[in-house]
Amino acid sequence: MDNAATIDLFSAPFWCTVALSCVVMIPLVGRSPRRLAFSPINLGFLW
Amino acid sequence: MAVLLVGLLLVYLLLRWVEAGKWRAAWLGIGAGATLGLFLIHKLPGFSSYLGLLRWNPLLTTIGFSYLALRLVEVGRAVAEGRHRAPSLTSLIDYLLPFHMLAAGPIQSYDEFAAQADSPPALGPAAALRSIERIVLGMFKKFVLANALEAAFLTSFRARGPYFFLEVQLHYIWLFLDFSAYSDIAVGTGGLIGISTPENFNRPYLARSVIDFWERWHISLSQFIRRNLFIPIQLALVRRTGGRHPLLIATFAFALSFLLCGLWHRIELKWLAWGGYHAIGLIICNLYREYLLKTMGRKGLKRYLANPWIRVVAVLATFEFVAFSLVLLSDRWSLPGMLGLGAY
Repeated sequence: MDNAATIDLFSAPFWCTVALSCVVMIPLVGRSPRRLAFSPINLGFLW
Repeated sequence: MAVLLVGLLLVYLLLRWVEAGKWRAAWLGIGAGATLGLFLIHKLPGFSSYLGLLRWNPLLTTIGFSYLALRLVEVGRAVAEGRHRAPSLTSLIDYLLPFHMLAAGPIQSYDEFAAQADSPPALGPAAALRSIERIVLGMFKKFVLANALEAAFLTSFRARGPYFFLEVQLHYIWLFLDFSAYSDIAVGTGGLIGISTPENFNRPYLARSVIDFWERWHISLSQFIRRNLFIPIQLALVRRTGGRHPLLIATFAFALSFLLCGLWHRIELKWLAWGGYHAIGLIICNLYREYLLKTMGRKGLKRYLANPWIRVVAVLATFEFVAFSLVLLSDRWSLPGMLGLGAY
């Protein structure tokens, strides 16, 4: 309730990250490749 | 960013050392102390200014440290109790900092994260459409419904007379629309990219008791409280007393858990009062349920709960109880506000 981060879910960087993660993650199968791909996406979002 | 990467590396190493077993208590103590220290820096500007660490606040806010701290507790306990191996660095990043859950949760349990399938089922058109629908629903709730409601009706409880009571109802509805919108977008995004994202709301306005409310509102937080506060407190007290006073133990566990839950939101008197208010509601519901069980028996209680009139009254009473709890958080009607203490 009063704990929201300053990350704005309704900002362009968020939606760009959603789009990028869809392009990268949807075709990927297997635990390791998905983990390897998802962690840079998460860190990149905070960059 | 460098600070964040160093922090992640330290958490990774601490978890490895905890898993290794040598000096486990010391590593756990260091991890818990560091998490608590960062939490206090994040939540108490006076504390961070005293330590000269005010510049850390923007980073802690950006990464949503309130939620991150709870995820650290989850993974720390899971490794310390031997339920899971220490995660790899990439797994740790994925668990602690999932971009779609950073803004407002949900708080995924480490057990659930670790149990995710190696490969999610291929995203078919029906599943993709469901996820996109969920995202659009979240945007509609936030951009259209919540924004319109806020602009048209909410006055931060400055209104007087009958309008005040109307605003109390509308404020609760607005908070639900706004908060659940974030969860809808997180769940929809998780569905698209095949990352398990827990549900956080289940029609809380239909709750028929405060206990039921906490099973429907911010579900991931109430499950965290149950796993990491309520049950451990209860078990510790049962061991100490030999389980002689179960109702008293549950009462104490509810009180302590929800006072801490209030302080987790913000270290302020008004949030402590909000936590206490909900704790009182939970305790009364628990005692009332026990009383009904004792006087009516299991079958009688089932009949009582199935009565549609009882259901209507219970839902309305719970709605009002929760709606009025939010008034305690306003500057005008908060406990410190009414006592003339300002913003404490």
